[in-house]
Amino acid sequence: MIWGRVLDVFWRRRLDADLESQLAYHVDALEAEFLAKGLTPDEASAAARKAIGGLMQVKEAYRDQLSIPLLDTIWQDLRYAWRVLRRHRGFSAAALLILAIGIASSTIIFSFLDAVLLKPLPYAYGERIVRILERRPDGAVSWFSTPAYLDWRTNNTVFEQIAAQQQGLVTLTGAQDTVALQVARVTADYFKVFGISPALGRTFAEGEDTPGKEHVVVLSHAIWRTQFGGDAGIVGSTIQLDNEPYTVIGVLPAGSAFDRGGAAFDRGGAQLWQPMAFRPLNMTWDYRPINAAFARLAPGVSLEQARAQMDAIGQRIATEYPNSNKGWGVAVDRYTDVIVGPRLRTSLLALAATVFGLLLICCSNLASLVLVRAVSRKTEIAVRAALGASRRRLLQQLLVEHAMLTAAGSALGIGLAYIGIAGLMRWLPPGVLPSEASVRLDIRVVAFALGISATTGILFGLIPALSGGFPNLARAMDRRGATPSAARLLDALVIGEVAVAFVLLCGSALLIRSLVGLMNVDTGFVTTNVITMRLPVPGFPPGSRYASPEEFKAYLRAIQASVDALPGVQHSAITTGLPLTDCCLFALSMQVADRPLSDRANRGGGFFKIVTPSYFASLGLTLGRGRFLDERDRGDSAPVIVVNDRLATRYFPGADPIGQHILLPGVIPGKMARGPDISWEIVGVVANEKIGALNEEATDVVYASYEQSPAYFANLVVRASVEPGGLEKAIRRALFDLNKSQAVLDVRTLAQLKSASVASSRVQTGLMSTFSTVAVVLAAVGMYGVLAYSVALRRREIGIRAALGASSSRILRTILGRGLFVTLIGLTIGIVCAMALAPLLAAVLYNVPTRDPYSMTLVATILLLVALLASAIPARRAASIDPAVVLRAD
Amino acid sequence: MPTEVLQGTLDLMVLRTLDVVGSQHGFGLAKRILQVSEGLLDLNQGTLYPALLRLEQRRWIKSRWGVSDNNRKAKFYELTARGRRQIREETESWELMVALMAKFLAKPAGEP
Repeated sequence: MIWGRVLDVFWRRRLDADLESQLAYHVDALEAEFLAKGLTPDEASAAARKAIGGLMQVKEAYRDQLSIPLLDTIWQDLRYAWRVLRRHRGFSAAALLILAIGIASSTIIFSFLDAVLLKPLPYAYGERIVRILERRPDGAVSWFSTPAYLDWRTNNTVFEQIAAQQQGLVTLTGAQDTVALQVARVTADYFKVFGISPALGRTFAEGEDTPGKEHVVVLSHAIWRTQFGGDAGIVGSTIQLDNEPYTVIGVLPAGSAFDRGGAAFDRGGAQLWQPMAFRPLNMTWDYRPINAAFARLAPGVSLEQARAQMDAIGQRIATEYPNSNKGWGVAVDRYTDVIVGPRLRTSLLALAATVFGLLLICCSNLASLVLVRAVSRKTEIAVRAALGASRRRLLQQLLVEHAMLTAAGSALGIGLAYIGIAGLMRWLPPGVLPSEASVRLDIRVVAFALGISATTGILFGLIPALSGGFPNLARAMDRRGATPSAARLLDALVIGEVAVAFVLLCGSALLIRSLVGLMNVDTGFVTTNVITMRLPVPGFPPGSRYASPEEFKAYLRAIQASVDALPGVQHSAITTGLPLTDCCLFALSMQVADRPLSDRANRGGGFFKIVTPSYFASLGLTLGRGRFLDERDRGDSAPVIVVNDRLATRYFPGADPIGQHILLPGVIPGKMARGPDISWEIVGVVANEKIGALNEEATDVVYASYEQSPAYFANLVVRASVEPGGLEKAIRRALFDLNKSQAVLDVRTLAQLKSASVASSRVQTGLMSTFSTVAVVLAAVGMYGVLAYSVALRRREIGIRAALGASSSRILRTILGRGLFVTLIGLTIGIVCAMALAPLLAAVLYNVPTRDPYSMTLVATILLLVALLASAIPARRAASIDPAVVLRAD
Repeated sequence: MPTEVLQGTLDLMVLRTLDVVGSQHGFGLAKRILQVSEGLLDLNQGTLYPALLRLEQRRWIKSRWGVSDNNRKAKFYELTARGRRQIREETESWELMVALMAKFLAKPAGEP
């Protein structure tokens, strides 16, 4: 029924005309009647008008009936609001900016939080997917051996599907350039576990993971586009990987998690997938080359049931194969918990809390802006009230103004968020977010943004309204200044802003301290002027390129000779694993040779790094005792190793490790298995090289020479006499001249490796510092605004005081004092909150106490200075008030 | 003594009049209502038009442009099915009200 009325509002002009013509007819008809009764034309006309009863009133009544009062007045208010907002450009721009900042920052962070923590995994039955690894006797998870995987697969009844995955590099030749690609070698059921169907062709079929049938490959959508030009006919064609022909059988869908790197890859992610074929030479229990197994729980099986059964299987294996598995177990973890660890969760929640604090500051800033303006608009409001506007009507008008501002601010904020999300996604280093996280400004995020906008609008609109309402407030104002209640509210808002700003800045300070600490961690090497790159060498079947280890050693010597010959190169070296990457090293089991033999499963762990002797000089590792490896250590001489400081002090406390022997299983080149124990003589002790990320503990490391223990892994490390970035081209050329099918990957300086290893800390610190800096600026602006405003209001009072003899320095002190007083209260509240909240950051801090007194003092000092600055301008203005001018103005 | 139109009663008067005369224009309706009220009603004839608009917005009557007896363009109103239903309901409630008021206003027996 109301709709008839609503529609009529839009037909108003036509209906007005209708009325005119109907009334004209009515008047004419009445006149005709009166004329017929014998009245003169003039009398008839007057009588007709009388009978109708005032044409104006009729039209008025008709129009009232035509309009809907609320709708109509809102339309009026909107036009009025538009004019007001345009007239007060400064206020409008400030409010818009603050709103947009608040909405954009919370929306951006929510989009990340949503993608990582809230959205379900983009896999069918994602909540049933688990990751399986072995658990070492010390409780840490570990890669596992081929026979262990086969045992799990055969003997479990809790998984619907189970598949193994191994990461590696493969060299693609013959497409465009020679290029190294990240490959995941997986068993046939792999894609079934994740429920991924290809966009083109098919994925692996049953039995394709057996030797001889494994020459098939599935491409990621991204690599299909970049390397193969998105050729729709690619399925069925043959490509050369490590000089072996592989048939492309499928391409994965675009934009999937597998395009962003695939399942649980810690470095970069896979670009293509090959079957993992099990060969007899892999079937050793004590060599653990498989990175992970993924499985889907059978329907109705709980995680606990799966864990119980896998525990039982692990225990049986431990008794059957004590040499490799005594004390070892099986770790089954829900996949979602694997990809979102406590660090990432803490980071995101801390960021969410930060933007929430920022949002609060925005709201409070807006509220004080609105309050201040309500007071300065008192004349306008008083005039309107005097002209008969009801209190309700005035409030409605002000609310419409806010709604309009909020709507515009939201639009701006959502626009900013869109740009922010896109920018951040480009800026984020790979691996910071799990590849499953699809961060987009989607409908969920927009809905969130709108919710935030509405809340913001209501918050900043209602605070002043609740404080007594604008019209009341306006009436309660007299020319001497703000009412006590408004002034108190303004002070409270500033106090709140200072407190929140303090907490946020404290969080950032902790993170910055932690990051600075990380960057200054002793890495053991000299970071400057070193460039590194990965050189994938196909050494394992199928596709093994070297007839013998001797041939491989000769190739490495040739590489080193030609790189050394380049101008600007001081030292070059080859290693199985680069520092700070945790990569490509052999976890080993070792013991001191002349002590009682323990089973390999429970020997000491550590890393076995194979290097050319120049490695130590290239990295700048300092020698503690003995000597480095050198040219004397040849394949036919006695096996020698250099150990790191940690190993020396742990294994030989108080004794000289030089000349001691350590037992280590030998590495068999080209085979995924370990040989019998070799007794190595320690010839030197070097400083602890950072093997993994900067925040990780030092591990035991053993260095052996390629000449004595070749292995088919190679990374190049070059120390230059100058900034090494310019050397990349020359090195690539030298390598190309030596071997046209040698791919080069991940060319990075040591400094870049170092900063990449703290990527997520950097990202979080960067974001949090940005947000808290904005928060501090906003709080300062808020404080400045409130003080400047109160000075403007108190001009007359200050003038009188000055006239009565108050010195200008005294007035200055009064205003400054008020600013500082408010700040101190805010800081006190902030310190209490920071003490309570800071421990929540513990998971992301490195070597910094969460209730760090230095950070708090520093932040409090900064805020006090900012507050001083924010109050100084209004205070100076107050001090310079000329009583004569002010008093004459009245 | 001419009476002012009681709030809400004009609607029913208009509806009922349309019920009797069928299709009619504003002037005709006013004339008819005054006729029926036999001079008891003091009606500003103009107030009819907002009322007509209101009734139309409620879908109780509908209107179309037509030609009057004296060959002029005029807007003719007529009842809709909803309007007829409305008359029935309103009539019932009026009768109820009248009966009720009659009971209160009747002089109790025995009173002078």
